[in-house]
Amino acid sequence: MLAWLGVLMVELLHGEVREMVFEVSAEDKVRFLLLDIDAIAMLLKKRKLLFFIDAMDKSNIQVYVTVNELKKIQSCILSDEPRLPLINLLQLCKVPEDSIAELGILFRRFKESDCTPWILCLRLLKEYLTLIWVFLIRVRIENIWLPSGDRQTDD
Amino acid sequence: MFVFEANVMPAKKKKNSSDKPSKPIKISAIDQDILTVLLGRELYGLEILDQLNLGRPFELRFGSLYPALNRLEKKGLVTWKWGDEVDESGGARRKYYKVSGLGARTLREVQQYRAGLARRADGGASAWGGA
Repeated sequence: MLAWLGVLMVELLHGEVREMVFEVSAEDKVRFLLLDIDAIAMLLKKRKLLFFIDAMDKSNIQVYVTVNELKKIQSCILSDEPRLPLINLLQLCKVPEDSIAELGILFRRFKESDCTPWILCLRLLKEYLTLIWVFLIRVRIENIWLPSGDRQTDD
Repeated sequence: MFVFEANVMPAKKKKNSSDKPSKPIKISAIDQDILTVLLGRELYGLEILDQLNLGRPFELRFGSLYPALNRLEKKGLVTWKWGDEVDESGGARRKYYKVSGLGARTLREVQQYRAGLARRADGGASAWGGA
């Protein structure tokens, strides 16, 4: 059962903004109704996108997406599983969930600091690339000689 | 990078602590800072960075924080739990870290070592006329 409608904004790095409607379920999952998303991808060719999902409950995700990733998302949307959980969308970015959450908060801070959109994009891109480096390379190398402790607590 | 070897037994070998000599745990300066910040409270990554960067000459960023947290976690010095999904992060969950018992003991050992070091340095300076 759908809880409410939100607005999906696809903002290009050069500042052009397109708005489209999507539906969000009560389980905080997103169902994209944007079947013309392929048309957008074709329009943008190989340009990288800054993806904003702005919801009415103030949830906000920022993801850098290439056109190839965009097509993956689209295939998820058009496949048997029409609902694409937000976290699945984020994991396309190869960064752990908690880091994405931290990036989201960082983005809010940058926005509140009144820096220009160009600076904001650069800083987020830098942080994103740093996280990619940290989790895909550095942490994996360090884990070779670190003990295999995973000490999550459930309290 | 300064690496301190605290004379504390790792959690895995706690059962045999009376039989075997304790194995030192290496922690770097950043690890010590993080443990100090986390002592007695639970914080997520950005909050840890905020605390660490107060008055710090060189700003720490994610590139330093996450490897350090990974090290501390693997050594059993910190534990973590998932927080609730928050709106401002788009439904993604944050990890809240806190110091484990082993981490607190290790940090205490480091602090005692540093205090002793400072005392000896003071004593040495006094012997040379307070220079």
